[in-house]
Amino acid sequence: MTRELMGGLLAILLGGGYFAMALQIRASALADTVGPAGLPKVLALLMIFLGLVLSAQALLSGRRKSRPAAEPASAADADADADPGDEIQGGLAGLARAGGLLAIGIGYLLIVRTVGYVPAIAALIVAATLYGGAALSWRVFAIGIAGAVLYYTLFVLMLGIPLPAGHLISLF
Amino acid sequence: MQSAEILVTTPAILMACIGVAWGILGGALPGISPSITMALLLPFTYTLEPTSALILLASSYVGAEYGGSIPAILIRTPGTNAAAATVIDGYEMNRQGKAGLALGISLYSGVIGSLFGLLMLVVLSEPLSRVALSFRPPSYFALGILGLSVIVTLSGGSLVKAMIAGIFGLMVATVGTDPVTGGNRFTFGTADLLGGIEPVLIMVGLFAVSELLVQATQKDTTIRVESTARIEFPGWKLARRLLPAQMIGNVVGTFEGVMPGAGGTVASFIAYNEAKRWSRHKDEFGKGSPEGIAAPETANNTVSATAIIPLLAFGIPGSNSTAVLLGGFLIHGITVGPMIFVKSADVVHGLYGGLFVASIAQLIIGIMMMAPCIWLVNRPRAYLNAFIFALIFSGVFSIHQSLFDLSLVLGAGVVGFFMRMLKIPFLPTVLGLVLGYLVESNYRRALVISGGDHSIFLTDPISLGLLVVAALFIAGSLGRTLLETMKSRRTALN
Repeated sequence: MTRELMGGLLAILLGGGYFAMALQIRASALADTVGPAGLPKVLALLMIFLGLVLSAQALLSGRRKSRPAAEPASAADADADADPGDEIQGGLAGLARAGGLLAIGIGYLLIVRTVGYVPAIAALIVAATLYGGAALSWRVFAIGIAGAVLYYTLFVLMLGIPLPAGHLISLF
Repeated sequence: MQSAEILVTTPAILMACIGVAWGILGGALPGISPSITMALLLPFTYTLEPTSALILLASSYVGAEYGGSIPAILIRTPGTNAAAATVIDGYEMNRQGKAGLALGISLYSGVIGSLFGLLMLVVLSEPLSRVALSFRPPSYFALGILGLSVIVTLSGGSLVKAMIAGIFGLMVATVGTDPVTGGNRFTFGTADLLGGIEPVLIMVGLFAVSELLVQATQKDTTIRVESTARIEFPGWKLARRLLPAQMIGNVVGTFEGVMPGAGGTVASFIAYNEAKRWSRHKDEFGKGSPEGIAAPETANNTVSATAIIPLLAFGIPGSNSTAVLLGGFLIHGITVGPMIFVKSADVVHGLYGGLFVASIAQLIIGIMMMAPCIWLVNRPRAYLNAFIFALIFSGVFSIHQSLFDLSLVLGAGVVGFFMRMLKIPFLPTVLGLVLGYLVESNYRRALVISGGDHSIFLTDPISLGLLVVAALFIAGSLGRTLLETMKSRRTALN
């Protein structure tokens, strides 16, 4: 499946889901002629239409590409949708790497209320640095702790923003 | 006069200097665009008073445009897209041992560009906004549609994808309270969504988080800057020679800044080409021509001010960076558009004053920031990205002390990542998000006035004119796409 086709199908799915939710919007006694669900329904239909157009474009261009390819496809042709200008590299492995960074972010969300801002942000810096390819050494941990203290100083002490103190602190 | 008073009575001067310094650092980091640099600052602006907040953001835009030229000249890697044209002659000058002079020309031309752009901003914004003062609900609706159409057609790439992006932005804007009845839509029973999704969260997610996710897929190809170059300003004779190229940069930057969707990158390349065409030293271009640096650097710095004109006059941001600046206005409850010159004139005048300070301060801060920039560019990407990630988490949490906001930002980052993978542009989404309320509320208000009769959009002359222009933009873009498709088919058949 090409990326264009994937984009088209996602748009159709998004439009369909959004339309289904728009149908559930309750009509109000104060409603005007359009109503609260009016624009959402129009947007959903437009999204589905554009998704169909994008999918059709992808299928047509795929057929056009496959026509002259009567000769056997070489390994280099395997990924017909590959684009040398792609920012996202490494195929599925690249996606997994991005997912790993996202998981570090989610991990921070899960622990910050419990352990508090300084340990959580230090852990985030250390984890993201190691995940980014830095060698495991005491320096990474030292920089993580220094970064956490720096951000604590900036946000809490200088800007007066209350960042989570954490539940663990109440145990001491 | 009012600008000067605001500058003295608020921390505006300090904010302008901090903004420029931050912008230079962000611009100097390859991969960190001016819009990301500004988006990272957004959370900090919540605690500031409006004028200082906007000066901080706008000044960082000014600084980022110069910052982008530092790695362009020293390591042949533009820090920002707009600095790509500077690579051509900037790096050549560096190879000839004139890196200091190349950086000096870039900085000096940037100051000229920023000041000229500011002049245009002051002269053009208010008269243009007066046109919009006679707008009624149908005209505002049509203006929103025109803004979206222009951005969709000028985003580059597939028109269908840009339209999908714009509609997606409008969809996100419908989350929260309905603007007419006050009922809830798409809130999933969550109190956090009752007030809608704040554009600032989506912008930080789309611009900054998606960039970190994309960089996670790439290998660290950091090139070390070995240069110890000191900035050297051009002498009188060279300054006179640079003047025509800078004037070209000013004119091109003004035109491209006002045109939504064009931006600093297009301006830089057009200015470079025009400077080459009109130069007496054409043969030097590409071999280390000082004019080859002056023209694009003047143009992209001019754009940093003139891109604000459509934002202030009509409430329509024409680029990613001005969309982030709009986020700054929204944070402080300031509605941009024609009424801003009546309701928040002090903020606008303060912004002018702050931009003036930023433009001048750029000269000194540019010299001072040289060493920190080189130090930062040389840091391993893993450390830099980890600190940016932590900054996003700390900054976004500080807005409402809400972990829900952080999950929204992460979600927007994932959406941005896939949009980049599918080559769907961000700007129409951001514009759809910020214009969604304007479009829907004025559409429905107009229909309430007309008793449900849609012909109101055609009988209101301003609305009709704007809708015709919007239709022309879409039709023109469709026609161009069809012609290109036919041409490529003909080429394939031959």
